[in-house]
Amino acid sequence: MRRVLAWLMLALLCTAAAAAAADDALQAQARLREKVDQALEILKQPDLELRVKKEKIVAIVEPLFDFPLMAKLVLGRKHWSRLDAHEQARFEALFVERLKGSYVDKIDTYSDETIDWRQAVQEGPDRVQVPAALIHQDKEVVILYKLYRRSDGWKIYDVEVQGISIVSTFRSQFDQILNTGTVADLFRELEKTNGA
Amino acid sequence: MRFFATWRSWRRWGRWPLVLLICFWIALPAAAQGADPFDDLDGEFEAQRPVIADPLRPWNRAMFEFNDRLYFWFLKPVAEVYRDVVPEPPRIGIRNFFNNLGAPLRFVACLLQGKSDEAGAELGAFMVNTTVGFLGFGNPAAGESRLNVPKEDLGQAFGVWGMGHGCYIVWPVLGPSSLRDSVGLLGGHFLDPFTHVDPSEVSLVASGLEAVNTTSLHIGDYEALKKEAVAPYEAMRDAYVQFRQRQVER
Repeated sequence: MRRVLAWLMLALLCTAAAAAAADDALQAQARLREKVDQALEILKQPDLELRVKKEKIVAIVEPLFDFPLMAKLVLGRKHWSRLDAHEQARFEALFVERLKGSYVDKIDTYSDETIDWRQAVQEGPDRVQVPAALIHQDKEVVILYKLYRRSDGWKIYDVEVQGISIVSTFRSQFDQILNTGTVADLFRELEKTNGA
Repeated sequence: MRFFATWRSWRRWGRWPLVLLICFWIALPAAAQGADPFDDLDGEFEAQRPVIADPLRPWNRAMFEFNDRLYFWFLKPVAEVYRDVVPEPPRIGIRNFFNNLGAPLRFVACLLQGKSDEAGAELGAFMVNTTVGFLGFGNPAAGESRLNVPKEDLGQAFGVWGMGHGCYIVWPVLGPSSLRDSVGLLGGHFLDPFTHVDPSEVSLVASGLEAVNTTSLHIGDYEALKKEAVAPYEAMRDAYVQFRQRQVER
């Protein structure tokens, strides 16, 4: 009897875990969707100055991302561990400025696109991928948000646009710079492009 | 003495500790992952790294520079004037026209991958757009989801057959490509109806118009990519490899 009970319990736990996983994908997508919709609402307000719009949107979207993790990922274990704590902090600051800069630039080019959310995909217990499409007239741009579970909720660690991963693309570029140059070169390149 | 007492109680509880242990094992990797995902994700990105051999790098870099200047000094100014003269609807019409003429190539590329449904969709879209869409200037097939399939080309078909890129090649005017995709482009050239038009000047003018027309609809895209890049040559090369990889996979 007890043995049966034990197995039953185990089976129950397993199904509960599976159900929780399915919930995770939906929950992560719902949160993302809510924030992105809020940002789109602000974009559509006609009487708001562009500068104010940008500030508001960044404030909404920023908590969705894990910028420190992204900064580590774009250098990869290989290069990140070779930087001292001071350099790591400096790189993170420069890289995050860069990411936010290009995100804010995208706001300039917005013109009545609508977003179409697709079915979220659970990739293991702590990963969710949320596909979406930006639709403008008869053109669509496919976007994939990649999220992982952090203690305080789901965070984005990478975004793919038309199948091109932001993290992956930066990784190759930084790898190239650090393989042929020094950390100082890396900082110089980042500062140069951030200033532009 | 205490040990024995515990042992007895364990025995009394039968398999419970085992069950708990299993639950713990199941929960453990998840908890560990929640702590620091860097190692996991780092390994993942390392495994997915877009790799392409680049033995022609000096040539490629030179052609990358050449194309960059060609764009900023020639193609973009021309496309800007063209954009200011020709309103957007006719430009979209011209894009649709050239797009429709790409149907034979896409049809063959579908067949080479055994995608018969997609080949049928290409054929259907071509017939609808050529007739109802007035020689392809309109795109009525776009409203019919069954006729909308991802665009295939010969390079993708070779990729599906398991062929690798060979190496990276940047062509003047045409831009980023690879050995495999160049062979695909050459094959595609013969499947382009304009190639078989006599006199050949018609084909040349058509290509020029297509390039200017396409550019006029995408001004700002290249600038954005370049501005975001820290190392533009590598950024372009890796974006190309990732983009083609996705096209082959789907």
